[in-house]
Amino acid sequence: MKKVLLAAVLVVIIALALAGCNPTRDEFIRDLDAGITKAGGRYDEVYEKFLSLDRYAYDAEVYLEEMANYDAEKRRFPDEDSGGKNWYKPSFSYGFVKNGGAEYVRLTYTPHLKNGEGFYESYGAEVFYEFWYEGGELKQIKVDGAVVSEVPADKSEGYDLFREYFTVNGSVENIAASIMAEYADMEERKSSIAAARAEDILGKHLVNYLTYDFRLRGSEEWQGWRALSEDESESAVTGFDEDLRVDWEHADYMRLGNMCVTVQKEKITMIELYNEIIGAYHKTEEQAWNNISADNWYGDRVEADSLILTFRYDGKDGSVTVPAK
Amino acid sequence: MAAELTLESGVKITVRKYLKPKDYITFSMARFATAAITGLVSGYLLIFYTSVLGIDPLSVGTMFLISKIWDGVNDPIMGVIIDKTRNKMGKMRPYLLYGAVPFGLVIIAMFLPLGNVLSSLGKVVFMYASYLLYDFMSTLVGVPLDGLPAVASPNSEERAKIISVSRIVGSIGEQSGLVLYSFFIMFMNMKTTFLLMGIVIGVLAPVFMILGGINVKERIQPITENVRVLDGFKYMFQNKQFLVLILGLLLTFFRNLVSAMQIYMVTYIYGNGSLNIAFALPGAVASMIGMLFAPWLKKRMDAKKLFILSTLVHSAVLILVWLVGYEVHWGLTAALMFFAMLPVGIINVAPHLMVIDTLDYWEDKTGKRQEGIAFAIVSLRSKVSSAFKDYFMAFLLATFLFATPLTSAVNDHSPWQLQTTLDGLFMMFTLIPAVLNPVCIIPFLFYTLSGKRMAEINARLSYKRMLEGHGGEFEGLESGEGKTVGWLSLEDMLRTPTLFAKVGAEPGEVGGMSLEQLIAYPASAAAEKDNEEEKESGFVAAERAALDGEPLTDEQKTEVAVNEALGEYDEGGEL
Repeated sequence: MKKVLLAAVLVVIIALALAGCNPTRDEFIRDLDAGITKAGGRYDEVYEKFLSLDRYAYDAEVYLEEMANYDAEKRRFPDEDSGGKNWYKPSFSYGFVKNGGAEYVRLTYTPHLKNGEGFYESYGAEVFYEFWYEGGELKQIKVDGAVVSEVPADKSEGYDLFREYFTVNGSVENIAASIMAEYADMEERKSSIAAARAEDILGKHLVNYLTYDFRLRGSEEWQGWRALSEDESESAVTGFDEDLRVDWEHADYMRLGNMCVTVQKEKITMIELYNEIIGAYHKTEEQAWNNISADNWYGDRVEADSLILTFRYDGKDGSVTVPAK
Repeated sequence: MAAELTLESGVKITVRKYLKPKDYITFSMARFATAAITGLVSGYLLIFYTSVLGIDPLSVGTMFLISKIWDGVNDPIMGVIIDKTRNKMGKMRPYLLYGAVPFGLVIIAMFLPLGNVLSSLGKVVFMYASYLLYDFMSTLVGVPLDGLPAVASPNSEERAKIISVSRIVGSIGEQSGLVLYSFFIMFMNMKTTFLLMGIVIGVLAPVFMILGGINVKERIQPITENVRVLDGFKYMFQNKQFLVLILGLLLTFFRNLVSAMQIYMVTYIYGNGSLNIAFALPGAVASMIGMLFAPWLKKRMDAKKLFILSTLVHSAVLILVWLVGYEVHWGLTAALMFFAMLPVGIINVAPHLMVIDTLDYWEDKTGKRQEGIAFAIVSLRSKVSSAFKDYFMAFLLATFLFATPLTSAVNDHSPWQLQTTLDGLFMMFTLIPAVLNPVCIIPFLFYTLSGKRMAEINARLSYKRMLEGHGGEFEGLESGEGKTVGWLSLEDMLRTPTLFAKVGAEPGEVGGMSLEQLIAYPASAAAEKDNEEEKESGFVAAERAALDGEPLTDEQKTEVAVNEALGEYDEGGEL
């Protein structure tokens, strides 16, 4: 019996020792860089294929939300129960055809309009836009089938919150191409990436990046977590991985990004981009046991958005033609 | 108090009752308490570790798996300790009474929100230390509690009833965590919610357990005395019926994914943690309805068929839920889950009845009865299944690229999850358990203790217990022709030549026979049958040993004395 107990205790001690051996920061960064290299290699292949496509379309679902009463300047909510959300949920379809130097883009967009309570839940009329380019230059615009010199103001109503993603007036940004290009520049993104994974799941190939960026108090610039957490003695950001901590008295915002490209049968089927903006907020709390109030700083979600692009490939015979103007 | 049991031959046996309503109530309260703890730990501990302490899910899963190495030793030791325990209160109750309060304190300690206080290593050490302590306490209290019905009454009908009733109450108790979570989360953050859940359950559960321990008495006397740890494993491999049962139950862990994934479903797919109750409560009610129908269904088919059929129906409905998908209104999914959970009550009750059947079967076959070891192995099985489930779940979460909440930096963090992750979470809730759970049916195909066989075994055991002075089940019987013989003890019946003439057996020549055989057997074949049965019959062996002049054990001396007394009485006895 004693021997059995001794063996059991030893097993537990070994298990504890093994489980307690979390990587050091250097080891974590080394593993992370190896993950970025692996995921980056896969990403480059996917990106190359994407650039070579001369016909594709995608449906975009957008969701945006923000805390209604968050006071960014004072970094607080007026009271505990004032955290209502405003949200906005537009969707659009984007089509792209390229033939030599000629390109054609069509966009179908149904705006959500603001109701009396501040929520964007009513639908505006669907608008159909077409753009023709030659040699990179915009040659013609059509709105709902009629040629126009520029998109009329009344047709861009309700886009305000959406402008971060694309602008209609004059040209249309290909969001898929923008996102893909942004993550292709790995040196630019490297300091933000907290996890890079390339996995095969249920017949799908996924490349996934998690990113953490911060805006420190008094600064307008986003900075990647890696450099900020390097010098733990001075930084508002310390630790790494799930132990990452933020001194919210000295940081205004944290942006958590989650980006994923899904490839199935050698074609991109989905691009997802999720962002959370964590804002610092201040709360004075009464300590019940000694009646002294204490200042506390917290980080909580004040804004969030998601963008899901689902691709369609409808070229039946392989021939690509730009529609007549 | 008495009740009737009708055998297939038409013979009605009057079965004595031992348990009073307060036994059912207090034992069910104790079961409620341990189920509340199990529900709290199985439903919320993983999310507490990952979302409040901020530990990587794979590390938590690894810890769950490693902790089972400790259980592999811990549980059989506890079984042996129980089987060796000789206390005036019995061999199960002392642990329930003295272990309850420490168990409650461990539960409170487990849910302390130390995420911002401890370092990464500190959190892992805390997780291991608190979980292993919990594990130890749950064995110390859980094994005796599981074993208590097996010794609380020699009446198999009562044992089945107390198990069914307490399981129904237990299934309500299992939802305590959900009710508390749904209530507290309305007023406070996740961190404080978990702490309060730990405090409420950690304080109330010991009170309930102590009440159960005080009231329910142990009525079947212990048989086996000299047992060692290895005997537990030997027992498992020797008692083949028990082995196939344990193997089958071990594989049921896939099904447990359903309840464990519920909170992930509502948090990440429906984006509203408070919806948890909308899924769990109808599920619990459905499960209870299933348990209520279990005895009714058991009359129409044996426990094995019932278990297999319920498992298949559960899987079929889960597949339907998956086909409908999660993009429908959550109310439809919750409604479909109600139907998916209906068979779960039956799946939960049937195996516990089977465990006691295997104990009776083993006692009938070998004369040994090892509740402690058997229920320790059942407890170990349950923990190993739970660990498999946790590890499998953590593995799947990592596979589906689950984004771990950043709890050290953000309050109540529920990060965005990818579409593949959401699909994966939904599959973990429906399709994966539906497809994998039927694997548990395979071992059950080798389980052979049918209803008729168990009736015979129970009759033999009751007769044996009566002879040994441990209390028998019978108070009277009715002949196959429907004529009431009278309210008699079996001892009286053995002294009654008229009765035995009627049923065609000779008094004193019935050792080792089933009651059906006893009643149906022609007197001329009785002696021949006895010779065949000698090897299995303790008291016939004792008789032979006495005739051969071999020294008798105390047990054999008792049996010979009883036999002799009956023989003397037979000669001049009258009705």
